[in-house]
Amino acid sequence: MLRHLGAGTLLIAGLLVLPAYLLQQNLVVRALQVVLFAVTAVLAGKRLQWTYFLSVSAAIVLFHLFAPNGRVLAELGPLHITAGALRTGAFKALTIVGLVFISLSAVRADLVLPGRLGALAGRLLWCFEQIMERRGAVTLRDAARSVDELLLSLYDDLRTLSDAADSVQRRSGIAAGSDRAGFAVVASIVGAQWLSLLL
Amino acid sequence: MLWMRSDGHHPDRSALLNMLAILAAVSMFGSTLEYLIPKPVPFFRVGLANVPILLVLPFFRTRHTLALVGLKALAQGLINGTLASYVFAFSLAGSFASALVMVALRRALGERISLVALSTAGAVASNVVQVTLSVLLVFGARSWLIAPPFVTIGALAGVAVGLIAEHFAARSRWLARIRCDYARLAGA
Repeated sequence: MLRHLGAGTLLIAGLLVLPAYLLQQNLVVRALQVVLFAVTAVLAGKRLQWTYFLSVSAAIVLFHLFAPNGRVLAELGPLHITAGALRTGAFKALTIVGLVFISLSAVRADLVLPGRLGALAGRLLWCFEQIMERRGAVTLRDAARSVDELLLSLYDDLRTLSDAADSVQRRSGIAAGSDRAGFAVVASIVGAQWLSLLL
Repeated sequence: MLWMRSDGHHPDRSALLNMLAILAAVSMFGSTLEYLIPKPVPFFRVGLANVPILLVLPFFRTRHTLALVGLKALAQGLINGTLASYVFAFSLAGSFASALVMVALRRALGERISLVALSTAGAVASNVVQVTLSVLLVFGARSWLIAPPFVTIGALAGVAVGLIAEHFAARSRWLARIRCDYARLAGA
């Protein structure tokens, strides 16, 4: 569905959603937002690595449990599971995963932004999305070399992107402009995020 | 890609935008990693987002370094959700103070100063500016008490970030390419 929207419309929608998303402090609403943006990312034609996102989220929560804060909910040997640490960890994990989903939904390879700043913003967002997508190639055992290889391939791709984008557009049949129905769907998603701040 | 073509008539400018974009994206990724690490002290940051700035400091022109610093501060504000708060203003001031100190030291001492020393000096400058602003504008005179531990921890983080940058710079083929491309642009 989102593939039949213009890349500019998607980016503007993503930028309008971001402040509302980041200002949201309600954990339940944040969780619902993450599910919604996962759906929009899939609708935008992106492939999500569910096991990766789940394991990263679990690791973030676990990491935060080592900094106890608030009421003790349970004890696992020396580890005190506290409500504050659990909430902070879950909130941060959801925030990061949601940001990735928003980025995946809003940034598309055929994005056109006017001017030098627009070109810079478009490339920056594309690079960030690519780093997040390819980070599985980074190994802790050989971090410097694997990060270097990732950045080298990304830099090469960035330089030769013109041809690639044309072929991506042809292959996936994505639209250059937006139709009214698509625009209405995206506007309602953006509006809902801002309204959720009232909850 | 169409947005590449918007600047396609000026290949040098396009190449420079590519470099700034990928470096800023690495900063943004560093900010993302930091966001996930629990903070031992409120407002404390390791500074992983500064690694790309340290990497290009030896060969980037000052205006391009400052452009990267601005992008890094924006990325940090975006990731941490502080873009619309005084924390962002403090972070911006600290980032530019740190960059100016590092650029000045690099210009004065050239190859004789290591990335570890530059990073440490930058971290101290950033923390001193941020503590000063917080004392003057938010928390009042009593908050000077937090200055010594805050600056000390910041300096230690600066050493760690400098070591990471030094280790990566010595091995990176990507950085060598960026350096080579940038030198070609500067010579053009």
